[in-house]
Amino acid sequence: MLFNRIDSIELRGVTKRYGDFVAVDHVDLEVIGGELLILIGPSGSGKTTLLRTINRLVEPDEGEVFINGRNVREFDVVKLRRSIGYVIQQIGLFPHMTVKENIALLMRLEGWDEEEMEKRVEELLDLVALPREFAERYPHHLSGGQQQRVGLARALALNPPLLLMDEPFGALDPILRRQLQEEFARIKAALGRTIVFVTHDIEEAFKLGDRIAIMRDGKLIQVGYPDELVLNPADEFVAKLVNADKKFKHLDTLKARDIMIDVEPYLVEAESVEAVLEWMRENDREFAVLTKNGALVGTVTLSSLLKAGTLEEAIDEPLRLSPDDSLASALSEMKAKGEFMALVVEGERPVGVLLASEVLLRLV
Amino acid sequence: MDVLWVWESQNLAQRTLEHLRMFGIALALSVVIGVLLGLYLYRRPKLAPIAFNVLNILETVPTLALLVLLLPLLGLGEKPTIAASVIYSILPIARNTYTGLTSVERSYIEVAEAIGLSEREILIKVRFPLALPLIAAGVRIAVVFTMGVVTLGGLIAAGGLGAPIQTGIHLYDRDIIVVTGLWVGLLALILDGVAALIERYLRGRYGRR
Repeated sequence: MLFNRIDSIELRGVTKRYGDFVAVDHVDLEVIGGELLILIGPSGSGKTTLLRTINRLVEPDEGEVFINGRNVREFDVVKLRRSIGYVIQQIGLFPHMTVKENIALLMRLEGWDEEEMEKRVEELLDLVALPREFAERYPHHLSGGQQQRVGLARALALNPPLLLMDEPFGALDPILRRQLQEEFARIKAALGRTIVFVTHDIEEAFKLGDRIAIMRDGKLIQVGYPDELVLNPADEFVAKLVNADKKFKHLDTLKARDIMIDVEPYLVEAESVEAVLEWMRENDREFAVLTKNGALVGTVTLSSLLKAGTLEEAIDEPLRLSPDDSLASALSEMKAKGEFMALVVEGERPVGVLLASEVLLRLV
Repeated sequence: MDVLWVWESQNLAQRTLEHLRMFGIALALSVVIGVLLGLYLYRRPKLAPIAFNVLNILETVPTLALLVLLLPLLGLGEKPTIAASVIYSILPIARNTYTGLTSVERSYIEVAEAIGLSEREILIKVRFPLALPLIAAGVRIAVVFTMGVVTLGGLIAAGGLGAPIQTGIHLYDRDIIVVTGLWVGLLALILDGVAALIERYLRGRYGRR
């Protein structure tokens, strides 16, 4: 490790051009040690390019990047990257290596002994909530969500004080994305490291970020804590972005059916743990709504199924809403019960899933 | 047709061992030289078009002509036969090694760079394993080439199963020609089958999904 902790990361006048296209345009930005800084903006806004200047995957044409006051160009590039965890949307697990070999790759290259590696891999699997027996599996036997957990474990392998994450949950289906965000928000504190996180999902930004940096057309528009952005947006663009869903302003007139997502892709009729697991594997899901003859039985998650002996043990009784419940009351109920999700049912038939974002909960 | 008579009079057991020995040496040399050449060209991609053109030209020289051309250099027998086998087999192995190493999906290489693998480590840990199925396919082509050339070596006193076929032709003995010919064919099928199994295993283990 080149550094054991991050005091600050400073980007000064960072500019990157590709031909005539200016991907990043004179950006000055400071990341405070220990925080999770979100880089957000539409696609093509330069957020990923900017992120990649930190571990020198992109060398800026102008400007400089400093970590703890030292220019990153002074560091050996391989050592620098090993000191920085990196997680991307495409995950990029190596298909010819098992989960364990993927996670342990850098430890092996760093010359750790077998026993240490074994122990660290188990620790990491526990941390990202994967069963230890997954260690011997190959990536193609895992669902997208499980692969992304392995991706995170690999990034944390050498215990880097800095983590760069590029839309890590971007390719997952909406419910799985929320599940992983919840999990990540929970382990974030335990990780206790500096994280720079790229996303284009404002809800994700509010849920996970300590501070948020907003980019557009290669320029940094505004950096600040969420409430600063909401209360004092720098311009129309920021105001629009942080209020992304105008619906939020008219909570009273909105009903659960207006913002629920379709439950159809999550419905499954099955009688056994194995059958549901099989279905999850085929459909790449970690969440399912069980029905019997069209009537709601309950919800299950992959992790509850893996822990449970029988299907009954794995079933959760979700919060039930009716499509015509007002959104405001639905959200207060969810907030009171501490649920991030509720099921919308018509009679006994599930019709939708309601996901509460932090933003919504705060506004109620 | 008296198979047993041919087998014993022509000493086919002994001839088969000779044949497989030459085959083994030739193939081993081809694999080593082919893979190393593929690796070298991967490091020096500017040389690749030239090298593959030269090998392609060598590939078009008829086997018999090549054997004759090698006579003044290496004399009669095993040496020119093995050399000719190797010359023919380098191309498919080197080409597949080169293609395998250069065609690894870009995203794997990017991730490997991003998490801090050096160029060398990427080659050893990522590129080479992922190229193995393609290298194996090249070796499988070489198996068939080598079998053919080694058999033709009988013409220039290399021994092996080409020798009894020669004898058969000289003596105008149909039985010897047919029995030995079928035996060589069967051996080729078996060796190709083994190579196919190895290739399939590697594809399952290291292939893309």
